[in-house]
Amino acid sequence: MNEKLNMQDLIDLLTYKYNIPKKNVELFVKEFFDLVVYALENDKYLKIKGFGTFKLIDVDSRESINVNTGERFIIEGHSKISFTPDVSLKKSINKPFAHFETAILNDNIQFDNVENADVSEEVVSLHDDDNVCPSNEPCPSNEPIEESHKQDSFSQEDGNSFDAEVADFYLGKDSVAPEKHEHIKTLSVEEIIAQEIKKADLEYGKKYKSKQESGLSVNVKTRRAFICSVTFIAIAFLSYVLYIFLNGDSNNRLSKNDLDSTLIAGSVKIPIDSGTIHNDTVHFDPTNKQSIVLNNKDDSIMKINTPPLETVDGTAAEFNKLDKYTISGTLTDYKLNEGETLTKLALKFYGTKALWPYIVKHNRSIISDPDNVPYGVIIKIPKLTEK
Amino acid sequence: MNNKDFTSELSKRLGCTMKDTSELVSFLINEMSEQLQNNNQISLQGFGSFEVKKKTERISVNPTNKQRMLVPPKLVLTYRPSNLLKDKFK
Repeated sequence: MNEKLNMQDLIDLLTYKYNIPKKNVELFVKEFFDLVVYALENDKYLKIKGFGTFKLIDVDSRESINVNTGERFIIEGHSKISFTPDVSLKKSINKPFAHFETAILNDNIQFDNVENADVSEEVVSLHDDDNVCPSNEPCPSNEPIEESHKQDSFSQEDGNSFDAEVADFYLGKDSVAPEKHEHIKTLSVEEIIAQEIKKADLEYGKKYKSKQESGLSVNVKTRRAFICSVTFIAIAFLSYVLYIFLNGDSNNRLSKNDLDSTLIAGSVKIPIDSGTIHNDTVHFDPTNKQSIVLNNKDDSIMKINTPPLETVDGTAAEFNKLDKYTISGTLTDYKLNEGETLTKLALKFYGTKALWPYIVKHNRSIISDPDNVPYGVIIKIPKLTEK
Repeated sequence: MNNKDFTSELSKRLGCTMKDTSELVSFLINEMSEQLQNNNQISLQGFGSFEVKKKTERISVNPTNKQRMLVPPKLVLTYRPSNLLKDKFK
C-alpha cells in the first residue's frame, strides 16, 4: 500500500510470480518501455491492449507573462505525452468506488417550493384582510347565493350590512354542521375526521376574522361565543372519533404516517365538498389548509396519545438506550391490568418509559407484538444492572 | 501503432515468438494493474510514473437544462512522463 515501485521491483515481482529467468524479464521490461518511446517517436500513437493509449498531443504556441519581471514571452508550440487508460483498467482501478452513481440534485427545486408555500400563506392572510373590507365586491355577490343554498332561514338577513352578512354566514355554516353530522355518521370514519377538520379550519378562519371585526354588534359577540362552543364540541368529538378509530382498529400499530396520509386524503375532499365556502370567505389555499390540517392533527394526537402511538414514536430514540443496561435475572412477576402498557410498567419499575424494550426483550416468549399486549398476561419484569 | 504492431516489433527485438511476447506483455500489464489497484505507485526511470489518484466528488451543472448533478468520487490512473521524455518530445 502506497509504496513506490521502481523498475527493479517490477522485474523482481514478475520473476517471482511467473518463474521466468530474471535476465529475460529484465530485458523484456526494458525493451517494452523503450519500444513505447520508440513507437511514440515514429507514430505519435500507441495502443496497448488492456493497458491504455499513449498519444503525442501538439500544443499550440501561446503568450504568457513572466511572473517576476512582468515581461511578455511566447511559449513555443510543442507536443506532450498523454496517456488514457483502457476501459477495463479504468474500471478495475475504480473498483472501490464503483458502487457510486451520479445523482441528480433536486435541492434547488425543493427549496423553491418551500419558499413559494410561505409566500402563498402570506398572500392568503392578505386576502383575508381584503375580504373584511367592504370594498371587496365578490364576497357580497357570492355569499347570498351560497347562504340560500345552505340555509333558507338565514336568507332573510341577506339585506343586512356587509359585516353582519359575514357573521351570518359563519353562523349559517355552523348550524349546517349538525345536519351534516347525521349524514356523515353513515360515512366512513375518515370522512368524519375530514369533516371535523374542515369545520375546525373554517372556525380558524372565523377567529382570525373576528379579531378584525371588533367593531361588530353585541349580537355578533354572542354568536361568537356560540361558535367557540361549537368549536370545542367539534374538537372533542374529533378526538373521541380518533380514539375509537385507533383502538377499534385491530391493527393497532397504525403509525403516525399512516394517520397523516388518511387525514390528508380526507382533507383533500374538503374543497370538493364545500369548495364554494372556501372560495367565498377565506380564500383557502390548498397548501395553507394542509398546514392547518397538520396543526389540528397534531393537537388531536397529543390529546389521544394512545400507548401504541407512543411506542411507535419513541422506538428509534429509545433503542439507543438499550446498550446501557444488561438483564440480570427477574425482579418480579407482574400481571398486566387493564389500561396498563409496557411503557407504563417501565415508568413504574424503572422510573423511565425509555426502558420498556427490556421488558419486551425479557418476555420474548410471552409478548409477540410489543404494541399489542393483551390484559391479564403475566409479565416478568427484568432486573436491570448498568453496564 | 496498434497492439499487434507493438507485439510483433517487440518480438523482433527480443528474438522471441509472437505468442511468448504477447504472453509476457499481458503478464507485465496484469502485474502493473494489480500493483496500481493496491494503491502503489510505479515510477520507471527515464519513462515516467503511473499513479492512482482520487478525484473528489463534485457538482456539475448541465448547461442546457441547468440540472445539477452530483458526480461521485473516483479513482483515476494518471501517467506523468519523466522530464527526460518530456524534453525529448518538446
